[in-house]
Amino acid sequence: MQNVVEVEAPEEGRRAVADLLLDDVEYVNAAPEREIIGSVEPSGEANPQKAVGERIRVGIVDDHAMVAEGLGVLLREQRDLEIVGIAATVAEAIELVDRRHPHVLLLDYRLPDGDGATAATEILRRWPSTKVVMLSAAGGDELLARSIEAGCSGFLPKDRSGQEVVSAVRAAYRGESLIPTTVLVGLLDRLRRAPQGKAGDLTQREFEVLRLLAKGMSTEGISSLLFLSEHTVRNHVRNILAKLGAHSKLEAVAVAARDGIITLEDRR
Amino acid sequence: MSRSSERRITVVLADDQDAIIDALRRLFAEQPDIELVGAGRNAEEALKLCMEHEPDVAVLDVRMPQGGGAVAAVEIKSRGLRTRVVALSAFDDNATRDHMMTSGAVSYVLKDRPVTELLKAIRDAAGSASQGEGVAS
Repeated sequence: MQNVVEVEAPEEGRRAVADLLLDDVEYVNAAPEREIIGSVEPSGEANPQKAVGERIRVGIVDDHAMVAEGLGVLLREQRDLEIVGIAATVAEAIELVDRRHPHVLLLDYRLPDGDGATAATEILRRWPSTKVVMLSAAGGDELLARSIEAGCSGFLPKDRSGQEVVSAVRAAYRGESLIPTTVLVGLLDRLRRAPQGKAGDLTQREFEVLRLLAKGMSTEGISSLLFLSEHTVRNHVRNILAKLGAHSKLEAVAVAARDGIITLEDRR
Repeated sequence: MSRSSERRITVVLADDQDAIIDALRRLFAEQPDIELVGAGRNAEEALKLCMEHEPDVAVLDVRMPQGGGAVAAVEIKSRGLRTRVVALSAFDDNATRDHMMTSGAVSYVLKDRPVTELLKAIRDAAGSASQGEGVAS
């Protein structure tokens, strides 16, 4: 079907994605309808960006109503999550985000009126702070690459478990990128065949930040580990993306691994 | 709809998409009258589960690797199991629907419909199963 892959995103889209990744707190202003609920404590890790008692607003997009409803049951069981809407098409998904401003959108890749990457691109153009987690029935590197280029925060393949979906929502909300390692390996193969970014020229500090990104650490995690302000970390990330010609933190990690700047086995 | 006994409707489910199995497992768990006794990912697993449990209803995806719902439906019938087959499908076309119905399915439910339709199909199928057997217990 959609086998055309745009390796180079338009400059404008690229900036929107960079903004999304670099300005993790922006969504607070972008969600005027946030509801505060009593004394419910979020389960899982604390999120310093989230007001106490605030739940993560989640939207679900899947043309298979049964899957959407099943996800709904799962997510409603989580006390820190709140479902703000369910959509079945790209058009409905865009309307859902326009109206309900979810923090995190679970987006099925295959929809009747278009694909998830196109939907994500449009949604992130309108609401750059939305975290989009792509759900896919049929995996594939092509699809993953398009999702990442569209600026998605996470990707869950076909064999996902319910707990993985919940973890992905929380991770995306925290500004982390969540992609299974098995999926990443396929992406690396694809990137090896793609035109090279401008690797190198990384400062020692940028290299350090990149290595921590590769471990899946969030901006705030890196800032506290390296004793830097989050603002400084974001600047480093911005520079890393520019130097590597990447659209997202995730792509930066993939490009760096491809070019041998880091190794994904790097667990030090 | 009140059933004549307290016994729950036993269901075997087969679909190659984990997301569907996962979703339906959760949705079935919310139904007091429905019990999922097994889930498989292809026709062979579905048949094995049906032989083992002889459930009231088998919910079978029409397209699965190594044999879709039609294959399993034919086998269920030919082995004389009392299990009624409900076809679950992403394909809204007559050819697929007809193929499933002639293979022995009692109903055909689309995945883009609300789960209430599937639940109704399961309850209807279970009702016809107990009537067909003449068992009211």
